[in-house]
Amino acid sequence: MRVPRATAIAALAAATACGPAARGGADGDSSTLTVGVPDDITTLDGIFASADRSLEVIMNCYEPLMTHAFRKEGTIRRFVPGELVGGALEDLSLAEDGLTWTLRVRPGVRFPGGGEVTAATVARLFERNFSVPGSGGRFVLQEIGRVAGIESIRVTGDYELKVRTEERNPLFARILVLSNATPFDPEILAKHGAGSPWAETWMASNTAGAGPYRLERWTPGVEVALVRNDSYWRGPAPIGRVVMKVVPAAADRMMLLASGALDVVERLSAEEIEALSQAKGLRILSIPSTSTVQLGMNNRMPPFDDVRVRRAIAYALPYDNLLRHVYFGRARRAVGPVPLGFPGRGFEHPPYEHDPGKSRALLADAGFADGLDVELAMDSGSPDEETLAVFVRAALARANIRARIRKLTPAVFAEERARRRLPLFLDEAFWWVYDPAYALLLGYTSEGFLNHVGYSSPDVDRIVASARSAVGPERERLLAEAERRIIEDVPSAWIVQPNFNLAMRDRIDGYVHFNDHMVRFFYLSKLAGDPGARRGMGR
Amino acid sequence: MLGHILRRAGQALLVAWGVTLLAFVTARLLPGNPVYLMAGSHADERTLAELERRHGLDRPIVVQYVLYLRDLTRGDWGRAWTTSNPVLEDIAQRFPATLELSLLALAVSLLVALPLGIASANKPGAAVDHFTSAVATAGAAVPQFWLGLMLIYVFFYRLQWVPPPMGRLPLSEAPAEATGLLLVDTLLAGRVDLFWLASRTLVLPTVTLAFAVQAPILSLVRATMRETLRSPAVLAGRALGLRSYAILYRRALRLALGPIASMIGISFGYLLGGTVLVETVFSWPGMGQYALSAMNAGDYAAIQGVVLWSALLYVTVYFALDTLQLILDPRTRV
Amino acid sequence: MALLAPVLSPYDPEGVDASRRLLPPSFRHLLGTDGFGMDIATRILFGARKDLLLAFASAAPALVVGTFLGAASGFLGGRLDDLLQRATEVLQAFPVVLFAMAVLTALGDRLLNLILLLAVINVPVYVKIARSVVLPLRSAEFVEAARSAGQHGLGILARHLLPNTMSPALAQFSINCAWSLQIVSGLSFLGLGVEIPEPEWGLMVQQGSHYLVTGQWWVSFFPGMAIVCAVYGFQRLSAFLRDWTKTG
Repeated sequence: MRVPRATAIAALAAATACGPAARGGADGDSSTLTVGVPDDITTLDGIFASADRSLEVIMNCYEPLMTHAFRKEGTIRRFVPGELVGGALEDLSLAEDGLTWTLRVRPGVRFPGGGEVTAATVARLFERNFSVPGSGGRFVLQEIGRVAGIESIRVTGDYELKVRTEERNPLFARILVLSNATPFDPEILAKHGAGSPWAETWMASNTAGAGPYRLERWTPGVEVALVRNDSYWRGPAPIGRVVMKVVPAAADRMMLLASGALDVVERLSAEEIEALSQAKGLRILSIPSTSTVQLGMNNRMPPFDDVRVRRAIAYALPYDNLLRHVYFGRARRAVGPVPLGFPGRGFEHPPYEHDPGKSRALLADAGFADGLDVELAMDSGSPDEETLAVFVRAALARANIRARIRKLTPAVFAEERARRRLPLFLDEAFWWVYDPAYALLLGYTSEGFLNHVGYSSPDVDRIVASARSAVGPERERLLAEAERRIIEDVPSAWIVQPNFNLAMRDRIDGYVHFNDHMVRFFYLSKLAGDPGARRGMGR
Repeated sequence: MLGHILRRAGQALLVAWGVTLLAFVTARLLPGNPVYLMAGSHADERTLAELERRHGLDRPIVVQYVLYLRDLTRGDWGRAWTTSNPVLEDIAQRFPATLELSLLALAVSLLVALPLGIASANKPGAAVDHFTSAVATAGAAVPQFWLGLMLIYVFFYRLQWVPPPMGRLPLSEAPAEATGLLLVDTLLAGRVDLFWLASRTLVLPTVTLAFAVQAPILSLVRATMRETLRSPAVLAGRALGLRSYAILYRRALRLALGPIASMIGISFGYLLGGTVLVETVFSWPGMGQYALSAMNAGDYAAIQGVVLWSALLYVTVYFALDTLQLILDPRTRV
Repeated sequence: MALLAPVLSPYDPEGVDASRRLLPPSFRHLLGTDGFGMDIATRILFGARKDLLLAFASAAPALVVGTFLGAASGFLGGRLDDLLQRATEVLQAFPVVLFAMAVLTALGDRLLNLILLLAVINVPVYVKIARSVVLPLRSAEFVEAARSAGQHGLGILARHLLPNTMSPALAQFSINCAWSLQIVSGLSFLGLGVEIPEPEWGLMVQQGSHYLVTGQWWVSFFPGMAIVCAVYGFQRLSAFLRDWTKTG
C-alpha cells in the first residue's frame, strides 16, 4: 500500500525543478501568504459566526479579551490548557465573594483607525452581545458565563470594569477567549449604522477590530484578503498580507500546495496528509486534538433507548483498525465524554474495546437476536467521515446490525441533529472551552444544548450542577464521578480523537497551535524564495 | 407574425410568474431549516427563535410568499445568509463567470461539432464517420469531474502550461467591472497582461465543458444532416447538377437548422445549469457553485434567486430561438 | 454478464476491508481495490445492473413519450402546442440538481422515484427535437397528399411524420443514457440517488478521482471505462434501431 503512493509522490517531488523563485505571487513574495481553504466565510460578525472559516478570519482581525498562553512542546508551539493570559484585557481577577470579576483593560490596544480599546469599548461589546436578536453571544454569556445581562456590567474606570455573575462560575474567564468577546471600534460602527445601532449588516461583511489584521477585501466565493494592522499592540505582523483562496476540491488543494502555488492548505483528509507527508518541500503538522468523533445514538428512540443495545454498538467497533486504516495513526483513541488533553480529567483509557462476541450477546439479551436494521446519518459536508461511515457500517454488519447510510446536507444534518431526530449518526464533538465541566454541562446534562443524543440522567445532572460552582479537588472528584456514570451509560460510542492536520510549505515557520484550531497568521513567518516550488504560476 | 411574437411574449411572462411560485415552493420543499446551521452548535431556543424572526421565517408560508413577490416587484431578491449579500449582487458576480465559460464552451463545441458532423454525414461509414462517433460517445461518457482533474494534473501540475486552478484570476485583481466577462473587461481596461491570464485560466475548464457538450450536438448534426442529405430537395439539387458545397451548406443545412438550433438552445441551458462539477474542480466562482452551497446551507433566498434567474434566462433564450426559427424557416409559420 | 455478477465474483461488492485499501491491479484483485478495500472488478459487475437499468429505463420512456408529444405538439399547433412548449420550458428552466433534490425529498429516495425523475428530466430534449423536425414538415407536400387521400391527423402523424423524428431522436438516445448516469453520480455526491457504499459507476469515478493525484489511477479509470463501454453499447443499440425503423 505504501509503495505506489510513495512512488507517485517521489516522482512528483523529483520532477520539481530547482528553478529560480517565481516572479510575484506566492513563491517569491515573502510578505504575502496564500492559504487554500475548502469553503468561504459566511459572516464576519463575532456574535453570529459559527463556521470554521468565518471564525478564523474573525480571530485574526479581532483581538479577544483573553487568550491562551503558549509554549514550545517538542517541535511545535502549543497553547497551554488552563493557562489564560490577557489579550485586550491586561488581567482578570475575582473578588472574595466569588461573583464579582474585575476586568482591567490593557492600554494601547489600538484599532487601525487609531482609536483605543477602553473600558467603555468593552462595555459596548457586552452590550452588543446582549442586545442583538439572534446573537449567539448572548447565549454564551448568559448560559455559560452566567452573566444575567447589561445590568451585571459596570464601568468603574477608564480601563476597568466589573462584571457580576449569578453564581460562582470559574468558566466565566474561559469564555472570554471566544469570537464574541472581541472588541470592535464603536466609531466605525456608528459611522456605518444606517438604521441599526449595532450595524449588523455592515459587520457581516467588514471588520472593525483591533487584531493583527484587518479585512482588505472579500470577494464571495473567491477569496478573502487580509492586510496587516500596523497599530496592533503586539507590533506589526511579519506577514503583511494573507489571501485565503477558496478551492473546493481537495485534490486541487494538494496539487496547489505541492507545486508551491499555495503556502498553506487547510482541511485535508488523513489520506491526503499521508500522501503529502512523503513529498519534499512541505511541512506537515499533525497535532493531537480534543475533538471527538463519535457515533451518536438517540437515547430517546428505540432501540437505542436500551443501554444494552448501545453497549452492543460500542463493542462492535474495531477501534484500532479504524485508527490505523482510516486515520493512518494520526489520531488517538477516544476515552469518553471528556476528551484526552482536557485539564483535570480522570480517565485515560478507552472504556470499550472491540468485541463482536459481546456485542452479539448483548443484542440477543436485549431481544434482537436476529440483529437490527438502522439508519446511519452523516453530514455530507465532511468527506473524511464518509470513509469512516463505510467502515463503521461494515463493522456493525459483522455484529448483525444492518445499517443504511444516509448522507444529509449540512443544513439538514444540523437541524435533525439539534432536534434530536436522528437515531444513529456520526458526529464530531468539538469543545470551544477547555473545561470538563463545560463539556459535561453542554453535552451530557438533560438540558444541555449540545446533548444531541437526548441523554438524560438525573444523577449526572445533579452532580454536574454541583461541580459547576465547586473548585479544586472537590470539583475534580465530582466530575470524575459524573464521567464514570456517563461511560457506563454510553450514550454515544466515542471512537477517536483525530489530530489536527495542517500542511504548508517548509519555508513557512512559526505556527502556534491554539485550542480552537484556528490558524493565527500573526505568528507565521515566511522565508523568501522557495527552491522547491514550480514556476507554473502563469502570468 | 408580429401577433405570434406578442403572444409568445405574453406567455413568457406567465411562465416567469409560474416559476417564481415554483422557485419558492422548491426552496421550501427542500428540507433543512437554516437557522440551525446559522446558529451553530452553541445556541438555545431563544437564539433560534430570534434568528427565525430576523430572517422572516416565523411567518405563515403564504405570508412569506406574498412578501417575496412584493419584494421582487421592488427589485429586491432578498439577502443570502451565506454571503450576507443581496442575492442580486451575488448573482451579478457569479453569473458572468458561468456565462463566459458557457459561451466559450458552446462556441468551441460548435466549432468542433458542426464541421465534424457534416463531414461525417457526407461520408457515412468512412474513417471520419467512425471518429465522429467515437468523439460523441466519449464526450457523453467521460465524467466531467474526472476529466477536469486529469487535465489539471497533466497540464498544470506536470507540464505547467496553464495557471493554477484557483479561479478566474489566481492571484491578481480583476479590472473594473463592466460586463463581468473577463475577456471583455480586461481589454476595455487596457490590461493585456490580465487578458492573457484570463484566457489561459479559461482554457482547461472550457475544454472540459466543451468536451461534454459537443456530444449531443455532434450526434444530432450527424443524424439530421444524414437525413436532409437524402431529402428530396437535396437530391433534386444534385440531379440538377449543383455543386457539392452549395448543396451541403445551403440546402441541407438550412433544412437541418431547426433541430440543431433547438439542440443548441438545450445545450446552452444545460451549460448554464449544469456546470457545477466543472466549477468545483476549477474553483470557478460561478452560479453552479453558488447554487450548490446554497442548497447545502439551506439558504432560501439564494436558492430562490438561482431558480428565478435561471428560469428568466431560459424563457428569454427560448423566446429568442423560437423567433429565430420563425424567421429563418418560413415553413414553421402557422 | 451483469446478471451473472454474483456468480462471477468471489468478492462481496460492498465488502469493506481496511487492510486492503488501494491495492493496484493484481491477480487477487484484477482491477485493484478502492479506498475502502472493496474489489473494483466486483463493484463494476454489480454496478452494471443498477447503472444499465437506470440509464435505459430513464431514457427509453423519455424517448417514446417525448418524441410523441413533441411531434404531436408540432403537428397540431395552436393552443396545445403553446401549452406544451411552455410546460417543457418550465421543466427545463429548473436547475437539474435542485429539481432532483426537491422531488426526491418530497417523494422519497427510492430507485423507482429516481428512474421516474430522470425520465421526466429527459423528456424535454426529445420534445424539442421532435417538434423542430415536424414543424417545417407540416405543410409539406406529402402531408397534403395524405390529407387529400382522406387520412386523419393522427394517422398522418404516425405514418409519415414520426419516422422522420426517429433518427435524430435515436441519435440522442445514447447520449441521454450517458447523461442520466452523470446526473445520478452528481446526485449521489450530494447524498441522494445511490446510497453509499452501493456500487455505481459514476460515483466510483468521482470518488476515485481524488486518488488521481496520489497515484492510484485505477480507482477511477476502470469504472470510467465501464461507462464508456456501456454508452458505446447504447449507441450500437440506437444505430440498430435507427436502421430497423428505416426498413420497417
